[in-house]
Amino acid sequence: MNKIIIKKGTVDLNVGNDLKVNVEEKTELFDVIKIEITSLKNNEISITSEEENLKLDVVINIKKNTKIKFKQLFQNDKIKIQYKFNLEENSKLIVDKFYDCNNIKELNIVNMNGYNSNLEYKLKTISKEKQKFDLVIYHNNKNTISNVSNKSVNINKGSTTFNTTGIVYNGITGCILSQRNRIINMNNKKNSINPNLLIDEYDTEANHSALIGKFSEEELFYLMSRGIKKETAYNLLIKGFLLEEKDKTVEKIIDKYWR
Amino acid sequence: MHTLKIKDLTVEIENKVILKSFNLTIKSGEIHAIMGPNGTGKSTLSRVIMGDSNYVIKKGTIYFDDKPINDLTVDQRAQLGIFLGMQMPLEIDGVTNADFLRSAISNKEGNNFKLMSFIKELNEKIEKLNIDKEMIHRSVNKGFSGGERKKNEILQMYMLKPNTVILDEIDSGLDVDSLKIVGENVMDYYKESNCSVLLITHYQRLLNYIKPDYVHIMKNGKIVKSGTFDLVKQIEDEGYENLGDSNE
Repeated sequence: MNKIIIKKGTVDLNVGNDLKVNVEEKTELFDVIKIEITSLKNNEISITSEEENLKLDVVINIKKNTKIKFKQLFQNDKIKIQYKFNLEENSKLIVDKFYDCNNIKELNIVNMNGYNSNLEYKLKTISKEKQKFDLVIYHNNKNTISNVSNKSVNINKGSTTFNTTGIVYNGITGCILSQRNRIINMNNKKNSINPNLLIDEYDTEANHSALIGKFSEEELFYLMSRGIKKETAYNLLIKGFLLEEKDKTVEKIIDKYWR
Repeated sequence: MHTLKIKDLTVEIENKVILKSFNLTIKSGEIHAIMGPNGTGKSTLSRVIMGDSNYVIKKGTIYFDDKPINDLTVDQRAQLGIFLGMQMPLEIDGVTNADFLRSAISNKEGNNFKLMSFIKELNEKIEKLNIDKEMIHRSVNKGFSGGERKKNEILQMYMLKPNTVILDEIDSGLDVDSLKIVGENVMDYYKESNCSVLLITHYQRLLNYIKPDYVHIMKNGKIVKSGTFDLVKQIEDEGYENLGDSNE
Protein backbone atom coordinates (compact mmCIF):
# COMPACT_ATOMS: atom_id res chain seq x y z
CA MET A 1 0.00 0.00 0.00
CA ASN A 2 1.35 3.43 -0.98
CA LYS A 3 1.00 5.84 1.91
CA ILE A 4 0.64 9.61 1.93
CA ILE A 5 0.53 11.19 5.37
CA ILE A 6 -0.08 14.87 5.92
CA LYS A 7 1.07 16.20 9.26
CA LYS A 8 2.35 19.48 10.58
CA GLY A 9 1.87 21.11 7.20
CA THR A 10 4.13 18.69 5.37
CA VAL A 11 3.53 15.63 3.24
CA ASP A 12 5.27 12.33 4.05
CA LEU A 13 5.46 9.97 1.10
CA ASN A 14 5.95 6.26 1.30
CA VAL A 15 5.21 5.19 -2.25
CA GLY A 16 6.52 2.78 -4.86
CA ASN A 17 8.32 3.55 -8.11
CA ASP A 18 5.26 2.97 -10.26
CA LEU A 19 3.49 5.89 -8.63
CA LYS A 20 4.50 9.41 -9.59
CA VAL A 21 3.69 11.92 -6.88
CA ASN A 22 4.34 15.66 -7.13
CA VAL A 23 3.84 17.73 -4.01
CA GLU A 24 3.69 21.49 -3.67
CA GLU A 25 3.90 22.33 0.03
CA LYS A 26 2.04 25.35 1.28
CA THR A 27 3.81 28.69 1.35
CA GLU A 28 3.33 31.87 3.34
CA LEU A 29 1.29 33.31 0.49
CA PHE A 30 -0.50 30.19 -0.63
CA ASP A 31 -1.69 27.93 2.18
CA VAL A 32 -2.94 25.04 0.06
CA ILE A 33 -1.06 21.76 -0.24
CA LYS A 34 -1.12 20.47 -3.80
CA ILE A 35 -0.61 16.79 -4.62
CA GLU A 36 -0.66 15.27 -8.07
CA ILE A 37 -0.59 11.49 -8.33
CA THR A 38 -0.16 9.51 -11.53
CA SER A 39 -0.38 5.77 -11.37
CA LEU A 40 1.42 3.80 -14.04
CA LYS A 41 0.24 0.39 -12.82
CA ASN A 42 -2.46 -1.06 -10.58
CA ASN A 43 -2.01 0.51 -7.17
CA GLU A 44 -3.44 0.99 -3.73
CA ILE A 45 -3.03 4.43 -2.20
CA SER A 46 -3.94 5.64 1.25
CA ILE A 47 -3.98 9.26 2.37
CA THR A 48 -4.38 10.25 6.01
CA SER A 49 -4.33 13.47 7.98
CA GLU A 50 -5.03 14.72 11.47
CA GLU A 51 -4.12 18.35 10.72
CA GLU A 52 -6.33 20.77 12.61
CA ASN A 53 -6.86 22.95 9.57
CA LEU A 54 -6.30 21.37 6.19
CA LYS A 55 -6.49 22.91 2.72
CA LEU A 56 -5.75 20.44 0.01
CA ASP A 57 -5.83 20.19 -3.74
CA VAL A 58 -5.40 16.67 -5.11
CA VAL A 59 -5.22 15.48 -8.72
CA ILE A 60 -5.19 11.75 -9.43
CA ASN A 61 -4.54 10.43 -12.94
CA ILE A 62 -5.51 6.85 -13.63
CA LYS A 63 -3.77 5.56 -16.72
CA LYS A 64 -5.18 3.28 -19.41
CA ASN A 65 -5.96 -0.31 -18.29
CA THR A 66 -5.03 0.32 -14.65
CA LYS A 67 -6.92 0.01 -11.40
CA ILE A 68 -6.52 2.28 -8.38
CA LYS A 69 -7.86 1.75 -4.89
CA PHE A 70 -7.81 5.10 -3.14
CA LYS A 71 -8.48 5.15 0.58
CA GLN A 72 -8.74 8.37 2.56
CA LEU A 73 -9.04 8.83 6.32
CA PHE A 74 -9.19 12.40 7.60
CA GLN A 75 -9.66 13.37 11.23
CA ASN A 76 -9.47 17.14 11.28
CA ASP A 77 -11.23 20.19 12.57
CA LYS A 78 -11.63 22.12 9.33
CA ILE A 79 -11.06 20.91 5.81
CA LYS A 80 -11.25 22.56 2.43
CA ILE A 81 -10.42 20.08 -0.23
CA GLN A 82 -10.63 19.72 -3.95
CA TYR A 83 -10.16 16.45 -5.77
CA LYS A 84 -9.81 15.94 -9.49
CA PHE A 85 -9.83 12.37 -10.81
CA ASN A 86 -8.96 11.76 -14.46
CA LEU A 87 -9.75 8.29 -15.77
CA GLU A 88 -8.34 6.94 -19.02
CA GLU A 89 -9.61 4.06 -21.18
CA ASN A 90 -10.52 0.81 -19.37
CA SER A 91 -9.35 2.19 -16.06
CA LYS A 92 -11.03 1.58 -12.73
CA LEU A 93 -11.04 3.84 -9.69
CA ILE A 94 -12.28 2.69 -6.31
CA VAL A 95 -12.60 5.53 -3.81
CA ASP A 96 -13.24 4.89 -0.13
CA LYS A 97 -13.28 8.07 2.00
CA PHE A 98 -13.93 8.44 5.69
CA TYR A 99 -14.16 11.76 7.52
CA ASP A 100 -14.30 12.36 11.26
CA CYS A 101 -14.26 16.15 11.15
CA ASN A 102 -16.10 19.28 12.13
CA ASN A 103 -16.27 21.57 9.09
CA ILE A 104 -15.79 20.27 5.58
CA LYS A 105 -16.07 21.81 2.15
CA GLU A 106 -15.24 19.28 -0.48
CA LEU A 107 -15.40 19.49 -4.25
CA ASN A 108 -14.79 16.47 -6.45
CA ILE A 109 -14.51 16.57 -10.22
CA VAL A 110 -14.37 13.20 -11.92
CA ASN A 111 -13.48 13.16 -15.61
CA MET A 112 -14.32 9.81 -17.10
CA ASN A 113 -12.37 10.51 -20.25
CA GLY A 114 -11.59 6.98 -21.33
CA TYR A 115 -13.92 4.51 -23.02
CA ASN A 116 -15.16 1.87 -20.54
CA SER A 117 -13.76 3.63 -17.47
CA ASN A 118 -15.34 2.74 -14.17
CA LEU A 119 -15.80 4.56 -10.84
CA GLU A 120 -16.82 3.04 -7.49
CA TYR A 121 -17.13 5.94 -5.06
CA LYS A 122 -17.93 5.61 -1.36
CA LEU A 123 -17.86 8.46 1.11
CA LYS A 124 -18.69 8.14 4.80
CA THR A 125 -18.62 10.92 7.33
CA ILE A 126 -19.50 11.73 10.91
CA SER A 127 -20.61 15.34 10.74
CA LYS A 128 -20.16 17.46 13.86
CA GLU A 129 -20.62 20.90 12.33
CA LYS A 130 -21.27 22.03 8.80
CA GLN A 131 -20.24 19.72 5.99
CA LYS A 132 -20.81 20.13 2.27
CA PHE A 133 -19.79 17.68 -0.41
CA ASP A 134 -20.00 18.45 -4.11
CA LEU A 135 -19.34 15.67 -6.57
CA VAL A 136 -19.54 16.22 -10.31
CA ILE A 137 -18.96 13.28 -12.63
CA TYR A 138 -18.47 13.96 -16.32
CA HIS A 139 -19.11 10.90 -18.45
CA ASN A 140 -16.98 12.13 -21.31
CA ASN A 141 -16.72 8.82 -23.10
CA LYS A 142 -18.92 5.88 -24.00
CA ASN A 143 -19.65 2.88 -21.77
CA THR A 144 -18.48 4.64 -18.64
CA ILE A 145 -19.90 3.57 -15.28
CA SER A 146 -20.18 5.58 -12.05
CA ASN A 147 -21.53 4.12 -8.86
CA VAL A 148 -21.73 6.58 -5.95
CA SER A 149 -22.60 6.04 -2.31
CA ASN A 150 -22.51 8.95 0.15
CA LYS A 151 -23.36 8.37 3.80
CA SER A 152 -23.38 10.75 6.74
CA VAL A 153 -24.26 10.54 10.42
CA ASN A 154 -24.93 13.92 12.00
CA ILE A 155 -24.14 14.43 15.66
CA ASN A 156 -23.80 17.48 17.95
CA LYS A 157 -24.30 20.52 15.70
CA GLY A 158 -23.63 18.53 12.54
CA SER A 159 -25.41 19.03 9.27
CA THR A 160 -24.66 17.64 5.82
CA THR A 161 -25.21 18.65 2.22
CA PHE A 162 -24.64 16.22 -0.62
CA ASN A 163 -24.72 17.73 -4.11
CA THR A 164 -24.15 14.84 -6.47
CA THR A 165 -24.21 15.44 -10.18
CA GLY A 166 -23.78 13.06 -13.10
CA ILE A 167 -23.44 14.49 -16.62
CA VAL A 168 -23.85 12.66 -19.92
CA TYR A 169 -23.69 14.60 -23.18
CA ASN A 170 -25.50 13.70 -26.36
CA GLY A 171 -23.82 10.93 -28.30
CA ILE A 172 -22.04 9.44 -25.28
CA THR A 173 -23.87 6.12 -25.32
CA GLY A 174 -23.90 3.12 -23.00
CA CYS A 175 -23.23 4.95 -19.73
CA ILE A 176 -24.51 3.76 -16.37
CA LEU A 177 -24.97 6.20 -13.46
CA SER A 178 -26.04 5.24 -9.99
CA GLN A 179 -26.24 7.51 -6.92
CA ARG A 180 -27.17 6.61 -3.36
CA ASN A 181 -27.16 9.39 -0.78
CA ARG A 182 -28.06 8.69 2.84
CA ILE A 183 -28.04 10.93 5.91
CA ILE A 184 -28.85 9.74 9.43
CA ASN A 185 -29.75 12.66 11.63
CA MET A 186 -28.97 12.20 15.32
CA ASN A 187 -29.98 15.83 15.90
CA ASN A 188 -32.59 18.12 14.38
CA LYS A 189 -30.36 20.10 12.03
CA LYS A 190 -31.33 20.81 8.47
CA ASN A 191 -29.75 18.66 5.78
CA SER A 192 -29.86 18.60 2.05
CA ILE A 193 -29.42 16.06 -0.71
CA ASN A 194 -29.43 17.26 -4.29
CA PRO A 195 -29.06 14.41 -6.73
CA ASN A 196 -28.69 15.75 -10.27
CA LEU A 197 -28.68 13.57 -13.33
CA LEU A 198 -28.06 15.81 -16.32
CA ILE A 199 -28.44 13.43 -19.22
CA ASP A 200 -28.75 14.36 -22.88
CA GLU A 201 -28.53 10.85 -24.31
CA TYR A 202 -31.30 8.24 -24.49
CA ASP A 203 -28.94 5.27 -24.33
CA THR A 204 -28.15 5.76 -20.67
CA GLU A 205 -29.07 3.84 -17.54
CA ALA A 206 -29.44 6.09 -14.51
CA ASN A 207 -30.88 5.82 -11.03
CA HIS A 208 -30.64 7.59 -7.73
CA SER A 209 -31.94 7.27 -4.21
CA ALA A 210 -31.87 9.76 -1.35
CA LEU A 211 -32.75 9.35 2.30
CA ILE A 212 -32.62 11.69 5.28
CA GLY A 213 -33.93 10.23 8.51
CA LYS A 214 -33.30 8.66 11.88
CA PHE A 215 -32.86 5.09 13.01
CA SER A 216 -36.29 3.64 13.63
CA GLU A 217 -37.69 3.18 17.12
CA GLU A 218 -38.46 -0.42 16.16
CA GLU A 219 -34.79 -1.16 15.43
CA LEU A 220 -33.79 0.26 18.80
CA PHE A 221 -36.55 -1.66 20.57
CA TYR A 222 -35.46 -4.92 18.95
CA LEU A 223 -31.81 -4.49 19.91
CA MET A 224 -32.56 -3.27 23.43
CA SER A 225 -35.01 -6.15 24.00
CA ARG A 226 -31.92 -8.37 23.93
CA GLY A 227 -30.36 -6.48 26.82
CA ILE A 228 -28.26 -4.15 24.66
CA LYS A 229 -27.91 -0.64 26.12
CA LYS A 230 -29.13 2.27 24.02
CA GLU A 231 -25.63 3.60 23.28
CA THR A 232 -24.41 0.14 22.28
CA ALA A 233 -27.48 -0.26 20.07
CA TYR A 234 -26.59 3.01 18.31
CA ASN A 235 -23.00 1.81 18.00
CA LEU A 236 -24.20 -1.33 16.22
CA LEU A 237 -26.62 0.57 13.98
CA ILE A 238 -24.03 3.18 13.01
CA LYS A 239 -21.38 0.57 12.26
CA GLY A 240 -23.98 -1.26 10.21
CA PHE A 241 -24.82 1.93 8.35
CA LEU A 242 -21.30 3.22 7.72
CA LEU A 243 -19.30 0.03 7.37
CA GLU A 244 -19.87 -2.45 4.61
CA GLU A 245 -16.82 -4.41 5.62
CA LYS A 246 -14.68 -4.64 8.74
CA ASP A 247 -12.41 -1.64 9.29
CA LYS A 248 -10.81 -1.51 12.72
CA THR A 249 -9.72 2.14 12.45
CA VAL A 250 -13.21 3.33 11.59
CA GLU A 251 -14.71 1.04 14.23
CA LYS A 252 -12.48 2.71 16.84
CA ILE A 253 -13.69 6.14 15.69
CA ILE A 254 -17.32 5.03 16.01
CA ASP A 255 -16.58 3.54 19.46
CA LYS A 256 -15.32 6.99 20.49
CA TYR A 257 -18.81 8.44 20.10
CA TRP A 258 -21.06 5.48 20.89
CA ARG A 259 -19.83 2.91 23.36
CA MET B 1 -37.57 -18.89 41.26
CA HIS B 2 -38.94 -15.81 39.47
CA THR B 3 -42.38 -14.29 39.27
CA LEU B 4 -43.83 -11.92 36.70
CA LYS B 5 -46.97 -10.30 38.00
CA ILE B 6 -49.21 -7.95 36.09
CA LYS B 7 -51.67 -6.18 38.31
CA ASP B 8 -54.66 -4.11 37.21
CA LEU B 9 -52.87 -2.90 34.08
CA THR B 10 -54.58 -0.41 31.79
CA VAL B 11 -52.68 0.61 28.68
CA GLU B 12 -53.34 3.10 25.91
CA ILE B 13 -51.85 3.91 22.56
CA GLU B 14 -52.85 7.11 20.78
CA ASN B 15 -55.67 7.60 23.31
CA LYS B 16 -57.12 4.19 22.56
CA VAL B 17 -57.38 1.77 25.49
CA ILE B 18 -55.88 -1.60 24.55
CA LEU B 19 -55.46 -3.39 27.90
CA LYS B 20 -58.14 -2.92 30.56
CA SER B 21 -57.36 -3.73 34.18
CA PHE B 22 -55.36 -6.73 33.06
CA ASN B 23 -54.16 -9.25 35.65
CA LEU B 24 -51.83 -12.22 35.29
CA THR B 25 -49.17 -13.94 37.38
CA ILE B 26 -46.56 -16.28 35.89
CA LYS B 27 -44.04 -18.21 37.97
CA SER B 28 -40.90 -20.15 37.05
CA GLY B 29 -41.71 -23.57 35.70
CA GLU B 30 -45.17 -22.55 34.47
CA ILE B 31 -46.31 -22.39 30.86
CA HIS B 32 -49.19 -20.04 30.12
CA ALA B 33 -50.90 -19.68 26.76
CA ILE B 34 -52.93 -16.62 25.87
CA MET B 35 -55.34 -17.11 23.01
CA GLY B 36 -57.93 -14.83 21.56
CA PRO B 37 -59.29 -13.20 18.46
CA ASN B 38 -57.30 -10.67 16.42
CA GLY B 39 -56.96 -7.13 17.78
CA THR B 40 -57.69 -8.02 21.36
CA GLY B 41 -54.41 -6.79 22.84
CA LYS B 42 -52.31 -9.95 23.01
CA SER B 43 -49.27 -8.54 21.20
CA THR B 44 -49.67 -5.25 23.07
CA LEU B 45 -49.38 -7.18 26.32
CA SER B 46 -46.07 -8.71 25.23
CA ARG B 47 -44.63 -5.36 24.15
CA VAL B 48 -45.79 -3.59 27.31
CA ILE B 49 -44.10 -6.22 29.47
CA MET B 50 -40.91 -5.64 27.45
CA GLY B 51 -41.22 -1.85 27.91
CA ASP B 52 -42.22 -0.51 24.48
CA SER B 53 -42.48 3.25 25.07
CA ASN B 54 -45.15 3.67 22.40
CA TYR B 55 -47.65 2.32 24.90
CA VAL B 56 -48.76 4.42 27.85
CA ILE B 57 -49.51 2.72 31.14
CA LYS B 58 -52.48 4.60 32.56
CA LYS B 59 -52.97 2.41 35.59
CA GLY B 60 -51.52 -0.66 37.24
CA THR B 61 -48.10 -2.19 37.75
CA ILE B 62 -45.89 -4.87 36.27
CA TYR B 63 -43.83 -6.60 38.98
CA PHE B 64 -40.80 -8.80 38.50
CA ASP B 65 -39.96 -10.69 41.68
CA ASP B 66 -42.20 -8.28 43.60
CA LYS B 67 -40.35 -5.19 42.32
CA PRO B 68 -42.21 -2.82 40.02
CA ILE B 69 -40.60 -2.57 36.59
CA ASN B 70 -42.86 0.04 34.95
CA ASP B 71 -40.02 2.57 34.95
CA LEU B 72 -37.29 0.26 33.69
CA THR B 73 -35.98 0.66 30.15
CA VAL B 74 -36.27 -2.12 27.60
CA ASP B 75 -32.67 -3.27 28.06
CA GLN B 76 -32.99 -3.22 31.85
CA ARG B 77 -36.00 -5.54 31.63
CA ALA B 78 -34.07 -7.84 29.31
CA GLN B 79 -31.20 -7.82 31.80
CA LEU B 80 -33.63 -9.10 34.46
CA GLY B 81 -34.12 -12.14 32.25
CA ILE B 82 -37.27 -11.25 30.32
CA PHE B 83 -37.14 -12.30 26.66
CA LEU B 84 -39.64 -11.45 23.94
CA GLY B 85 -39.69 -13.61 20.83
CA MET B 86 -41.34 -11.34 18.33
CA GLN B 87 -44.16 -11.94 15.93
CA MET B 88 -42.38 -10.12 13.11
CA PRO B 89 -38.67 -10.04 13.90
CA LEU B 90 -37.13 -6.97 12.36
CA GLU B 91 -34.54 -6.86 9.61
CA ILE B 92 -31.53 -4.75 10.58
CA ASP B 93 -29.31 -4.05 7.61
CA GLY B 94 -25.57 -3.95 8.25
CA VAL B 95 -25.67 -5.46 11.75
CA THR B 96 -24.60 -9.09 11.58
CA ASN B 97 -26.22 -11.75 13.74
CA ALA B 98 -22.80 -12.49 15.21
CA ASP B 99 -22.15 -8.87 16.26
CA PHE B 100 -25.71 -8.54 17.55
CA LEU B 101 -25.51 -11.65 19.72
CA ARG B 102 -21.98 -10.93 20.90
CA SER B 103 -23.04 -7.41 21.98
CA ALA B 104 -26.11 -8.74 23.76
CA ILE B 105 -24.20 -11.41 25.63
CA SER B 106 -21.18 -9.28 26.47
CA ASN B 107 -23.59 -6.63 27.81
CA LYS B 108 -25.11 -9.29 30.03
CA GLU B 109 -21.93 -11.03 31.14
CA GLY B 110 -19.53 -8.07 31.23
CA ASN B 111 -15.98 -9.17 32.00
CA ASN B 112 -17.09 -12.80 32.26
CA PHE B 113 -17.82 -12.94 28.55
CA LYS B 114 -15.74 -15.67 26.91
CA LEU B 115 -15.57 -15.56 23.14
CA MET B 116 -14.57 -19.19 22.60
CA SER B 117 -17.38 -20.63 24.68
CA PHE B 118 -19.79 -18.20 22.97
CA ILE B 119 -18.75 -19.51 19.53
CA LYS B 120 -18.93 -23.13 20.68
CA GLU B 121 -22.42 -22.77 22.10
CA LEU B 122 -23.59 -20.77 19.10
CA ASN B 123 -22.47 -23.52 16.71
CA GLU B 124 -24.21 -26.17 18.80
CA LYS B 125 -27.52 -24.30 18.83
CA ILE B 126 -27.34 -23.43 15.13
CA GLU B 127 -27.03 -27.13 14.40
CA LYS B 128 -29.83 -28.02 16.80
CA LEU B 129 -32.17 -25.54 15.15
CA ASN B 130 -31.16 -26.64 11.66
CA ILE B 131 -30.11 -23.11 10.69
CA ASP B 132 -27.69 -22.38 7.84
CA LYS B 133 -24.30 -21.68 9.46
CA GLU B 134 -23.64 -18.78 7.10
CA MET B 135 -26.61 -16.84 8.50
CA ILE B 136 -24.57 -15.85 11.51
CA HIS B 137 -22.43 -13.61 9.29
CA ARG B 138 -25.43 -12.09 7.52
CA SER B 139 -27.36 -8.99 8.64
CA VAL B 140 -29.98 -9.64 11.31
CA ASN B 141 -32.98 -11.26 9.60
CA LYS B 142 -32.03 -9.80 6.21
CA GLY B 143 -33.30 -12.02 3.44
CA PHE B 144 -34.52 -14.57 6.01
CA SER B 145 -37.70 -16.52 5.36
CA GLY B 146 -40.47 -16.36 7.98
CA GLY B 147 -39.29 -19.68 9.39
CA GLU B 148 -35.64 -18.61 9.56
CA ARG B 149 -36.62 -15.45 11.43
CA LYS B 150 -38.52 -17.43 14.04
CA LYS B 151 -35.68 -19.90 14.44
CA ASN B 152 -33.35 -16.95 14.87
CA GLU B 153 -35.54 -15.75 17.74
CA ILE B 154 -35.22 -19.16 19.39
CA LEU B 155 -31.45 -19.08 18.81
CA GLN B 156 -31.31 -15.74 20.62
CA MET B 157 -33.39 -17.20 23.46
CA TYR B 158 -30.96 -20.09 23.84
CA MET B 159 -27.94 -17.79 23.85
CA LEU B 160 -29.38 -15.19 26.24
CA LYS B 161 -30.73 -17.77 28.70
CA PRO B 162 -33.75 -15.80 29.95
CA ASN B 163 -35.77 -16.85 32.97
CA THR B 164 -39.04 -15.50 31.54
CA VAL B 165 -39.83 -16.28 27.91
CA ILE B 166 -42.62 -14.49 26.07
CA LEU B 167 -43.33 -15.79 22.58
CA ASP B 168 -45.64 -13.68 20.48
CA GLU B 169 -47.13 -15.81 17.71
CA ILE B 170 -43.87 -17.67 17.29
CA ASP B 171 -45.77 -20.20 15.17
CA SER B 172 -46.86 -17.75 12.46
CA GLY B 173 -45.05 -18.19 9.16
CA LEU B 174 -43.73 -21.63 10.06
CA ASP B 175 -44.11 -24.73 7.93
CA VAL B 176 -44.83 -28.07 9.62
CA ASP B 177 -41.17 -29.05 9.97
CA SER B 178 -40.06 -25.66 11.28
CA LEU B 179 -42.98 -25.57 13.71
CA LYS B 180 -41.82 -28.91 15.12
CA ILE B 181 -38.22 -27.68 15.48
CA VAL B 182 -39.28 -24.43 17.14
CA GLY B 183 -41.81 -26.12 19.45
CA GLU B 184 -39.41 -28.86 20.53
CA ASN B 185 -36.56 -26.42 21.13
CA VAL B 186 -38.72 -24.17 23.28
CA MET B 187 -39.65 -27.22 25.34
CA ASP B 188 -36.01 -28.34 25.56
CA TYR B 189 -35.00 -24.91 26.82
CA TYR B 190 -37.93 -24.84 29.25
CA LYS B 191 -36.90 -28.20 30.71
CA GLU B 192 -33.22 -27.33 31.08
CA SER B 193 -33.79 -23.83 32.48
CA ASN B 194 -37.06 -24.15 34.45
CA CYS B 195 -38.03 -20.77 32.99
CA SER B 196 -41.57 -19.50 32.77
CA VAL B 197 -43.17 -19.32 29.33
CA LEU B 198 -45.95 -17.05 28.11
CA LEU B 199 -47.19 -18.12 24.68
CA ILE B 200 -49.36 -15.90 22.59
CA THR B 201 -50.99 -17.82 19.79
CA HIS B 202 -54.09 -18.24 17.69
CA TYR B 203 -53.70 -21.90 16.97
CA GLN B 204 -53.66 -25.21 18.75
CA ARG B 205 -50.92 -26.57 16.48
CA LEU B 206 -48.10 -24.97 18.51
CA LEU B 207 -49.60 -26.41 21.66
CA ASN B 208 -49.04 -29.91 20.30
CA TYR B 209 -45.38 -29.30 21.11
CA ILE B 210 -45.54 -26.84 23.99
CA LYS B 211 -48.08 -27.99 26.53
CA PRO B 212 -49.36 -25.12 28.64
CA ASP B 213 -50.28 -25.52 32.29
CA TYR B 214 -52.73 -22.65 31.98
CA VAL B 215 -54.73 -21.36 29.04
CA HIS B 216 -56.28 -17.91 29.04
CA ILE B 217 -58.76 -16.44 26.62
CA MET B 218 -58.29 -12.75 26.03
CA LYS B 219 -60.96 -10.47 24.63
CA ASN B 220 -61.14 -6.70 24.50
CA GLY B 221 -57.99 -6.16 26.51
CA LYS B 222 -58.54 -8.55 29.41
CA ILE B 223 -58.60 -12.22 30.32
CA VAL B 224 -62.18 -13.42 30.19
CA LYS B 225 -61.66 -17.10 30.87
CA SER B 226 -58.82 -19.20 32.26
CA GLY B 227 -58.46 -22.93 32.45
CA THR B 228 -56.19 -25.86 31.74
CA PHE B 229 -55.24 -27.43 28.43
CA ASP B 230 -58.84 -28.66 28.02
CA LEU B 231 -59.83 -25.10 27.22
CA VAL B 232 -57.89 -25.32 23.97
CA LYS B 233 -60.17 -28.12 22.77
CA GLN B 234 -63.19 -26.05 23.73
CA ILE B 235 -61.85 -23.12 21.66
CA GLU B 236 -61.30 -25.41 18.68
CA ASP B 237 -64.88 -26.69 18.95
CA GLU B 238 -66.75 -23.52 19.81
CA GLY B 239 -64.55 -20.62 18.63
CA TYR B 240 -63.91 -17.53 20.74
CA GLU B 241 -67.28 -15.90 20.32
CA ASN B 242 -69.18 -17.92 22.89
CA LEU B 243 -66.37 -18.27 25.38
CA GLY B 244 -66.01 -15.92 28.31
CA ASP B 245 -67.58 -12.57 28.90
CA SER B 246 -65.78 -9.57 27.48
CA ASN B 247 -67.67 -7.14 29.75
CA GLU B 248 -68.27 -4.98 26.73
